[in-house]
Amino acid sequence: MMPAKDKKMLWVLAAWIVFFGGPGALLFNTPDYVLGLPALWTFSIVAWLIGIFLTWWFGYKSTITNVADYKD
Amino acid sequence: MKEISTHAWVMLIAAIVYWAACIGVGLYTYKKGASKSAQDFFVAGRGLGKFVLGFAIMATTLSAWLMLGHQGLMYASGMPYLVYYVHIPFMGVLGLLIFTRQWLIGKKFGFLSPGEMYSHYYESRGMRWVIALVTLLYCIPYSSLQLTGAGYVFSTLTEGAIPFEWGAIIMAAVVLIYVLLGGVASTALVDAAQGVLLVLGLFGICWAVVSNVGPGEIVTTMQSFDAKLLTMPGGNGMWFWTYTLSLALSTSAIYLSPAFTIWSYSAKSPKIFRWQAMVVWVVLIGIVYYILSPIIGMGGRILFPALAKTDTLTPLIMTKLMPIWMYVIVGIGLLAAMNSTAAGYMITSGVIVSQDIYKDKFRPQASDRETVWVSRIIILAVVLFAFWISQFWKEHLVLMGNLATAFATQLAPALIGILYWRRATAKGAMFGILAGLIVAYLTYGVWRYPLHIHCAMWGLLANLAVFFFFAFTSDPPSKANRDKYDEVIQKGMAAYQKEEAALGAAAAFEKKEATVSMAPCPARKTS
Repeated sequence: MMPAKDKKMLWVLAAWIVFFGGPGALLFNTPDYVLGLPALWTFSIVAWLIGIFLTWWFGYKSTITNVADYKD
Repeated sequence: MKEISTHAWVMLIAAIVYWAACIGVGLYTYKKGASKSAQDFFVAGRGLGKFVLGFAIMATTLSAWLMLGHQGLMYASGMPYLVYYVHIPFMGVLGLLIFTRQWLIGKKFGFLSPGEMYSHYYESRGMRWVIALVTLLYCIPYSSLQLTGAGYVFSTLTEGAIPFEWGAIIMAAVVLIYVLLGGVASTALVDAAQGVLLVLGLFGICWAVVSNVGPGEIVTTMQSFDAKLLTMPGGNGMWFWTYTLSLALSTSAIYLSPAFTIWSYSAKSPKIFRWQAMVVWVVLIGIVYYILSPIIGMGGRILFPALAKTDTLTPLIMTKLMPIWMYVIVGIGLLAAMNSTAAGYMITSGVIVSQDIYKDKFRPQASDRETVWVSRIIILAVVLFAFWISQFWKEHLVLMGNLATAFATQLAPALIGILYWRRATAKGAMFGILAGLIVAYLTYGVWRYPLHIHCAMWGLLANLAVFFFFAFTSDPPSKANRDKYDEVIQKGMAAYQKEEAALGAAAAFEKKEATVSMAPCPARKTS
């Protein structure tokens, strides 16, 4: 059985990749600047920062991705 | 030899030194016993540490494409290309989801090749053949592309003094020597060093651009660019959201390829993977992609407007804007990028064919020594075949190279079956992969990218349909086998939790001790 927190984060991961990898970009598909950078650049940096958080969570907080050797 | 400039001479000398160093590492690992046993040769004795494995995984993933074609594509596409970069953080998480469990399974069952894991779990020898087929379909074109690239780059950097064919031959020979001498151990050591060179090279290219056009100027000048460069589908009209998403997923599937299963088996500890994912991949390579790449591509547009062939951007930056010492570092970085990718895939081919076909089918009694020697012969044959393709089958090479990652993607359902989903069946995994390979080929070679969706995803859809059909209509592996895998993973997760709890308790104890020792002495009672 997969722990509930991991299951929830896998859904967050799926939503994040689908949103930031595709349709979400349409919301920022403008030649205007956001926070001093072209809108799609800012959008991508936000995707990256959330990705850093997700990697940290799956690396250090998740149960399913962390294993260790054991004696039989 | 025709007359060449000082730049080219220095580059030639630096390349000779670099190649000598690569061979030196091969000799060093050989003397240290890297080919004593099959385990030493195929998975570096399961002893690769944090720095070496962290950078080796990175270097195998990133080919010379990152330094050449990639920067040119940013130049041609503009900002929409950045949306596709979401694969960088996604690969960080994907690696964590699959590498740690493969490490544990590999260690507990003593697997040396990915095919062993697939066939053991699914209780099907046919799986070994299917995995071997996917591996060769992936590794040969990739190695061949790197050889072609090396020939082209070396010939360009030495201003034609070394012809294209000789560039490819020299690189193939150098890679062969260190791979054959030290197997995965020497491949990892050389790859790690090459990974550092590659990143240094990219920082060098960016520095050359920024020292000629300031980053602020790049951002403000972009406002005057054609709006196409700031909005989807981009300057070259290819970046529809369906394409960015499907290409990002397909690129991430590089981690599913057998080469990365071998890296997973080779780690000393599974904690290496989180360091690799977080520090090396998502943060360091994230900076390269999200910060350096747009600066290079858009700065390149200001410095060299209206380039007809955009993949000449990096060579132009190197020759026109760099001092000689930086030209050499970036040039070596370029060669390193190609070497590292080719080496990783060459050794994978050797491991798979010798373990999964030769030993399994023809010589089960083969000794370690014999298997290692057979793998060396296989690697040699693969390199010769890759070289032959690069010289005489050039027109098909791009097609094969583009399909390679689409083919690797097809391993996803079968791997998820081993690591996470016990309902998967051998028939579903095997026929799913075959269906995926066919559909990926058709949606690239015959009807390219229908609905702007990458062929890897069309292949994966067909693959999943077959995979799920058989999951509910055929028998999964025996319960005993499935339970064995479940038990290994559950025990591994429990062992980690126990380790963490012990570490937490020790840290809390130390903190308490420190607090007690720092506390003021109780006041002496005075009567």
